[in-house]
Amino acid sequence: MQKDAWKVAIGVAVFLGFFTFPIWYNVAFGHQDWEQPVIADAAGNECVMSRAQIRLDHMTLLDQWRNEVVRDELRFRPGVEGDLRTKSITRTCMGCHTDRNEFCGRCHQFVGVEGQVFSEVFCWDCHVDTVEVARRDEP
Amino acid sequence: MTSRREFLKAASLTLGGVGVGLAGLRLARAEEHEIEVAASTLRWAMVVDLPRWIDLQDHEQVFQVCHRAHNVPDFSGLADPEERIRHAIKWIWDEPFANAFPGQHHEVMTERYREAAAPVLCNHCESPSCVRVCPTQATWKRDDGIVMMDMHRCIGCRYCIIACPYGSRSFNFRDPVQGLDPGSITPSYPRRMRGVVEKCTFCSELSDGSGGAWEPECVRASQGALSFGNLRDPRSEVRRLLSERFSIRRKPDLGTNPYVFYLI
Amino acid sequence: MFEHVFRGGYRYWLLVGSLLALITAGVIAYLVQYNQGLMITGMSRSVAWGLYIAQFTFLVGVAASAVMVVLPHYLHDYHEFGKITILGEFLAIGAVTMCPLFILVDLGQPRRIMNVFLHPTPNSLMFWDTVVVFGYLIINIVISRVMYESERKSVAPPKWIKPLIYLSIPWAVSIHTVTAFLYCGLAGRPFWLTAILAPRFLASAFSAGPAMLIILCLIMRAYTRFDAGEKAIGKLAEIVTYAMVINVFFVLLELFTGLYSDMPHHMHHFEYMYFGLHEGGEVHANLAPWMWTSAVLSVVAVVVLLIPKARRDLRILGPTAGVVVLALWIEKGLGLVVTGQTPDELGHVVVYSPQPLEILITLGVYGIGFLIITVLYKIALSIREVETG
Repeated sequence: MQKDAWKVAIGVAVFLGFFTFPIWYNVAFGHQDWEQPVIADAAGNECVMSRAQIRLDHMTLLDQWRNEVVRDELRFRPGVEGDLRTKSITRTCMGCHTDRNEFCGRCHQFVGVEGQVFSEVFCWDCHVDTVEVARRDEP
Repeated sequence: MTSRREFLKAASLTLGGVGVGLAGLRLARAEEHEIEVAASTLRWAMVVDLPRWIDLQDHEQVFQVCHRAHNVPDFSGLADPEERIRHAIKWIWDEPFANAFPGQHHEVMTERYREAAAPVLCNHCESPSCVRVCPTQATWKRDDGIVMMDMHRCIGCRYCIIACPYGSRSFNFRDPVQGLDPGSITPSYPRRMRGVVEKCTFCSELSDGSGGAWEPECVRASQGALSFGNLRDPRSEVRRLLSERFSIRRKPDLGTNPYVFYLI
Repeated sequence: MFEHVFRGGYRYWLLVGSLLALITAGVIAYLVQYNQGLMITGMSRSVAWGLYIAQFTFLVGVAASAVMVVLPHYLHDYHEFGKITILGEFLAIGAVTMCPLFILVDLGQPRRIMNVFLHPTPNSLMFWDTVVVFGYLIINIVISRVMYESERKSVAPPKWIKPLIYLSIPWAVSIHTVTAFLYCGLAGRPFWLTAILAPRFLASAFSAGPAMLIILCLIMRAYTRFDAGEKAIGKLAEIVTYAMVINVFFVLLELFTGLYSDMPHHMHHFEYMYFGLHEGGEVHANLAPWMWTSAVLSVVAVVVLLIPKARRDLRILGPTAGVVVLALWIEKGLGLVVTGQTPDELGHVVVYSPQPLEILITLGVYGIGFLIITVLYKIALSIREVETG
């Protein structure tokens, strides 16, 4: 064991290097943005859920909407004020929160679920950012 | 030397397990059967008036209207001509009569049909092979007859493409963005990502959910050659057409029971 | 136990090193595929299943046929197989590990693989294939571990292992039957829609698997002190002989039904396989040379194996076993899956040719499987050598 100690040392060093990769990579090459982003309030009516609820549950909510709209054909739900709202990011959420990079992207990138190489947030791989399209088509 | 008793115990356990499995299968098939047998007031179907289609000059614009509305990528401009065919994505397109209706083609056909091209698309079968084989229920049959796709659930195994007897489905081998012009994307309909299967869904996004009929894009652009409607509604156009004129379907002997009808 | 993996001669390390290099190349190729999509393969809208699924189909057969070694020993007390049952089990583990790996590299959205378990679909054969293949992997790992531990400690194995071993026998048959069911229930694919597909799969599995085991035993005889014994190897050779004869017979049966019936949608597939088909003004016959090679090799192998003197001569048996594996790999690994889709459902011929990255990924997965087999065999061997002194 004594004469193999150097092999073990190398192995441990390599392991530590891999294990701490996210930390030293960000220090060396990544963003230095350590401040938690602050999202401005949006103009418009009440959101579909209370602020506290939505903060916690928006992922689950969107997943539920996805299944309900596509699989069960239930496209509408009552909003906080009782009116019928469409279950759709582009039609409902982005009606008020118009800039998805500003509103969704900053927190997602800060937390590390959305990025250049690896992204859990794949909505926009398929769904079209209607707001961005409208803005681009504006004269 | 193990005792016969132990062997019999093990064998019966195995048989029991297999039996439970088979029972489960039987149960699943029974459910499938229930969907077929249960009465529904809605059954969407399409009727293709072949003589009118043959007389129609521009078929391509019918296909383009569909593909544009649904952000279907166009890979006809790829550098490699083989890849243009291999990676093509088509929801509705023309096939020569002999290919659309194999076995109906012979040497003494009328000129008109021998050279004809028929529009082919997903048949929204009553007993769809694709639904049967999908391991995640990413494709399923709605009560109103439409065979739907859930792009979020699809794992891209392509078993549905293997099973479909009509070649109606396309797989995204590459990122569809490579075949889409950013200026002419339809914002209200999503694109797809690479790695999932797609096909015609009878423009179900145009439905208002009330059970009333809508006009799919291809039907709208076809100048009357294509009709769409509820087959269970005795006053629908499709019902009238099918009761007045003889119709054929693609590969009818396979048991899929397709609901795209072709008037001769 | 695992310390044996790190002690070996230079030939062992050469093998392990080459396999690791192959695996690395395969992983890099897969990263390209993960990034760009399956466009890097030769698959198409018409031929949607290619090399990856074909390897899965072939390897499920090899995994199933480990049972051919276990069955005589446990059910019929054929003690000559005692030494090599563990080798058969380890070969099965290697093969049945490669199976889900080939499925994974074939998926368009591999990150969603859990959907198969989160949304079980009993009417889909793919769901059942996943269940039985994983179950088989677990069963084999448990059996190997227990049998191996008992052997190492020179004690009798625990009683409860026997029912599990008995279970593994019909389970092995079932994994290949269910894989055949993936193909042979599809009304739209007349080339595969035949009741004899499952028996054909089993016959070719019981030829290829034991043939691979023969090759492995001969390699061990040549390079290590492990000798399975001429009786055991001879028995394996007899199994391969019978299975190969049945397999060739089944192929001829298929040819008869397909060609005598004169039905175009049957005949076209056989024509494509052996002669090629016309499309767009040219003849597409890229599969024909492979299929004829496979046919000739199969017949040659059968003839050689039927001669007892040749079969018993290990210098002839070795290459013959290799020929068997090659012929069956072509038949199942190339012939079956691609031919069933050519011509496609609209009668068009779209040629499938595997592309370089696709082949590299395939070799990488084979590398992983063979590395597992190498490592497991090394452990088994080293323990045996410690025992025998």
